[in-house]
Amino acid sequence: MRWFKVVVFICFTTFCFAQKSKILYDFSESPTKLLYNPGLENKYKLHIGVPLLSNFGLDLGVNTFTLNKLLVNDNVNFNIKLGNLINEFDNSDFMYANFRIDNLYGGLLLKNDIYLSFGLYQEVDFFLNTSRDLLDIIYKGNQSFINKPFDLSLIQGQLDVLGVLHIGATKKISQKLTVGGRLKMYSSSFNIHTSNSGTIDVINGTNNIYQQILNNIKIEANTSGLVNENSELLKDTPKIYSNTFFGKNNGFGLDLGFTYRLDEQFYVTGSILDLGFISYSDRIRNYTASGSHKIDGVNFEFDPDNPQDYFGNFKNDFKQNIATNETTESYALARPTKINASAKYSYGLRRVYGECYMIADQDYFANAIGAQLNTILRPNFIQTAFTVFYETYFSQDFLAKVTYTVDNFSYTNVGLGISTNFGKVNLQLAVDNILELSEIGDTHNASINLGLNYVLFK
Amino acid sequence: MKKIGFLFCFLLLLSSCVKNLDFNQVDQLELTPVYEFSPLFATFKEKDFVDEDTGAELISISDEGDITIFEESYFRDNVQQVIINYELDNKISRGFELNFDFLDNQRNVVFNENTGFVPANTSGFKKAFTINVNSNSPILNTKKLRFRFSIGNGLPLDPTSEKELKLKTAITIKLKIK
Repeated sequence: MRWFKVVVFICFTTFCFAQKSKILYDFSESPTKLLYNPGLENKYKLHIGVPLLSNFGLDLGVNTFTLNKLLVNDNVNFNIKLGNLINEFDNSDFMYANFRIDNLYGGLLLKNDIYLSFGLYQEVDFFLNTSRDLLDIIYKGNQSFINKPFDLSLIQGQLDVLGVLHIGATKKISQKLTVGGRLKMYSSSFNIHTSNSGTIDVINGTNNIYQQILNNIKIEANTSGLVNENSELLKDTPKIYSNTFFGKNNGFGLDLGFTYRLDEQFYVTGSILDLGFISYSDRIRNYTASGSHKIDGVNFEFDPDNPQDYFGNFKNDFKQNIATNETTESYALARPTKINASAKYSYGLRRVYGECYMIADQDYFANAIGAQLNTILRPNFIQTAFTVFYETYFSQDFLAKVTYTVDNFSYTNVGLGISTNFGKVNLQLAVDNILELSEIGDTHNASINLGLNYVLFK
Repeated sequence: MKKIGFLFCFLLLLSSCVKNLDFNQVDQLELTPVYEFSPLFATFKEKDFVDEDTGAELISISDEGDITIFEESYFRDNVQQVIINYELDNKISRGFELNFDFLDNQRNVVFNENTGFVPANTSGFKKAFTINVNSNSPILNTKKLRFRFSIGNGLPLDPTSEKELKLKTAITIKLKIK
């Protein structure tokens, strides 16, 4: 085991970032794990999260882009590097960012053996489809789309700044089954969302060199908090983050989870998170365009007896076929739902600890191996990560987990997590994607997660 | 103490290696997209060149339309080059030449392109002309585009003929966005 300790030490002292759910899911004695699955087995009697530190996480990811590809000082013109980089993108590429901080997190065991956990956290969630076609249209123009339709559904994105008030319960139903649920109340202070469909074709025409076809297009952009009643753009951006609770944009959500133990050493878990929506009604400004239209161009008729306002007619014809609208109507959006599942097998020397520190049954064994599936339901596709992991205790209160993940960003994603206790205070840190993080400028995703909680066990 | 030592080392060596990155390179950013589409076309018949009332041949016919794109500040600030490709199919029994006149507010011609003589019964006549905005800055004052067809000499025009003359266009716009 000495080699593993050395590897853990080197890795943790070299790299700084972590990705949340892949490592933290069903990891350690930290009560943070109940936020990823409220139905996990636990032996908590009470926990009090350290405000702002009980669960702090930042995730950033982009498929193709890396800082070094674009910004390394190599005397190559920036535009050449940008062009080369865009050529590497494909239509399934995307970028995302997620920042989350717990303002309050606590829990206590009730008399009927239900563990109640509750809290308040703030979250910034950003997602944008960075498809190759969209980048080509912006960077190179439309010449490569002559006789090739441009799919508007490739333009999808969302930015949300919200606060979440939550209360959850975990109950061991039997020796085999533990279930849990969490109710969430969302309050968003800022939202931008776009969702589009249809195609724009430029094809070889009959009446003209080209015919432009807007085929069943639906362009929709919703904003809340971006402009005020006087159509002025938001200026006081810090207020976005400070207004995340008890605003006008509210919604509800549900987390559900379970653990099913097949025997003493093997169990499976599953959870579904953020099954809910937010209804936006504060400072709304929506922009839409929809319809179908075939455009040959303006037809000059050379009739001196009947002079025409060609471009006025063209505009009117366009408006009749493509309806555009700007509204202040409220709208509702589903939260990006997460689905997690795992299987875990514990083995090795069975450890027995003193009365002062008891851990959950499944961790009595020195080691564990398993697999996880973590997914986020994004517009148009599912962001998926498949992980296999190995866990081991170095001492009675020092747990480490190493993971290998295949996801949208990498096939060489190795991660590490540690959980340790200082008296009754549990500290949890996690690192993901360490092979890329050796040179952070080359990494496609980076994240950090920290959890600090005061915990009393049964 | 081992745990504290471990965590201390973790915090000390928390950062990864980063190459020499130069964020000022972003100042070099220059987008040069090229957009192509077909804005205009025209189709007439041979009989359209004959006055319905008098039966006299029309030596020249013209038509014009407003051009508003040069009024858009984004376009004015970033357009570098405009290339107009055109195709002519002349099935009528006389040749002609065509003028593209770009007119300003006072109807002055700020740019002109002449196709040269297109003989009778010509199909697939293709040509293009390029307007470099830097060397033809008056083009930015364009408010109207006028087409002028001038019929050449030859056989008499038939006032009942359904033979057609077709004009097709495609415009290529090159932008430079900093």
